[in-house]
Amino acid sequence: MIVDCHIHLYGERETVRESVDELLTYADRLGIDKLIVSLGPELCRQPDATRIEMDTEYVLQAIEHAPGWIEGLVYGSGNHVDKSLELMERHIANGPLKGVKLWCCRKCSDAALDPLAEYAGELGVPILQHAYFKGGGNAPYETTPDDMLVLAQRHPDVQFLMAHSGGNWEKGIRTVCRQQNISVDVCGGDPEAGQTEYAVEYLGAERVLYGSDASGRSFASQLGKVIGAQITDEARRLILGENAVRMFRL
Amino acid sequence: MIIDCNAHLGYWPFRHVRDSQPDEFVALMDSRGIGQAWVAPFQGVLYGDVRPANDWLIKAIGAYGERLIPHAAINPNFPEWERDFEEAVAAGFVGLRLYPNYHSYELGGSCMADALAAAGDCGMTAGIHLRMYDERLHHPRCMVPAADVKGIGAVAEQFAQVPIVLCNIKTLEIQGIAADVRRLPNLHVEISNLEGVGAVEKLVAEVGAESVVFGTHAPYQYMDAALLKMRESQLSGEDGAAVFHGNAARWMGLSG
Repeated sequence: MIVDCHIHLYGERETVRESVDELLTYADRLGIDKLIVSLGPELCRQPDATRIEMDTEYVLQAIEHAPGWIEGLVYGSGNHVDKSLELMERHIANGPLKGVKLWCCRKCSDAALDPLAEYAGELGVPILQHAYFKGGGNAPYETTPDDMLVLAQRHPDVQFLMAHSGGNWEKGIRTVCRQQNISVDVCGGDPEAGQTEYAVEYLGAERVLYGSDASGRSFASQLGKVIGAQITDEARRLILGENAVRMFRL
Repeated sequence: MIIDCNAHLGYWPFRHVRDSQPDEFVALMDSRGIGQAWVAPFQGVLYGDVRPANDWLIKAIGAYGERLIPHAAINPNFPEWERDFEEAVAAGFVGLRLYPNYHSYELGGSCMADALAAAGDCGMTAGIHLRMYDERLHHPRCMVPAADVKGIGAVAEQFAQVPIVLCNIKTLEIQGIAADVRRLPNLHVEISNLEGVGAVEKLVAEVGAESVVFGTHAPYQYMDAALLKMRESQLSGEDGAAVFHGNAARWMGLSG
């Protein structure tokens, strides 16, 4: 089973149905069985409370259109904690969403995120956090793997999924490798050879997940990071799907 | 036979790249069904005098002449570069690789024109790299912005006899030059840094299969990424063959 843990539905399509249908067409060609979707039809780094609710409902519409194929996450924000907690209760505690996506509203090391992490721990669901080390410097409020580590250390019983292996993957993976409640996904960068092997070496295959960051990225370029990696077949199975099934309780 | 129009061998300065020696790389090609790869030396990107880089490559690939097609790194913005070019021709290189962002010149400027004129005189193809890797991941003390693709149309038109491949170009960058790519039969784009779902089939629909070539940017990138892009896209048999090898093979004929 192949699960893509990092999908967004933004793009040129006018409706959620069209976006989902397009993604599923290409995913099917590569044998990808399930897509975990987050955020909304347009990327918004500083959404207001209404926007995170709308974007979360957009994800729900995607699931409704393609149940069994699509899973989803609540769009959480440290700027709108009450609304985020409300959405988590409404759509995770009562289903069907499987976790929380945090993007660039605040650095995740900010204590404002603590209530979200605590509630995710209570619910037993993971938090997918965008994290990047950029050579030219990060955007304001953009989380780095250093921030990710701080949050995960404060909440050792919560599972965190650090997106993009931290961008600069050699540095990002090393930054979080000792923190056992942080896993990484491989998505969102060019398919630099060695990335997946490096993650397996430092984290173990159980802490590495396939994701694509489609539709901005292609499924193929990111899947190539796992298919092309010089790792065991067992490690590949874990990364392609079994870890996601366990983490998101699919 | 699949032809990979964008590969390098040798030593990359910013991190270890495995499978970057000829024996290893040919084994990788065999495991993935790649018949031929156009290879240039990594060292040519940052060396001032590129001759040692080219010398290394031509010696290193000696036993694989049918599989690894040598492309010389040339810096037309370096004094006496014409001599480097002449030596490359004499040594048996059949194509050029140009790195305008690392070597500090514009695609539409006189350095590029000089290099393409030289390539045309010798029947060579010219691979132009807009970047070598994601700018966000550059070493903080060695940030090199990507080359601006603007201006390539005029220069490609001026040197219509030179097959040009725009390597490591991103999907958004193609949008600005799509009309030129459609219009100019010698101007082509390579797929290793295309992104977005179904990127290759969308590109073929936009510019035509005869303008698109297969490239992996291996061993820097996973070879499988480009191969899977071809599977993710649904091309006709004829278009797929053109991208995988037909277009490149045609130029090899053109370039003797």
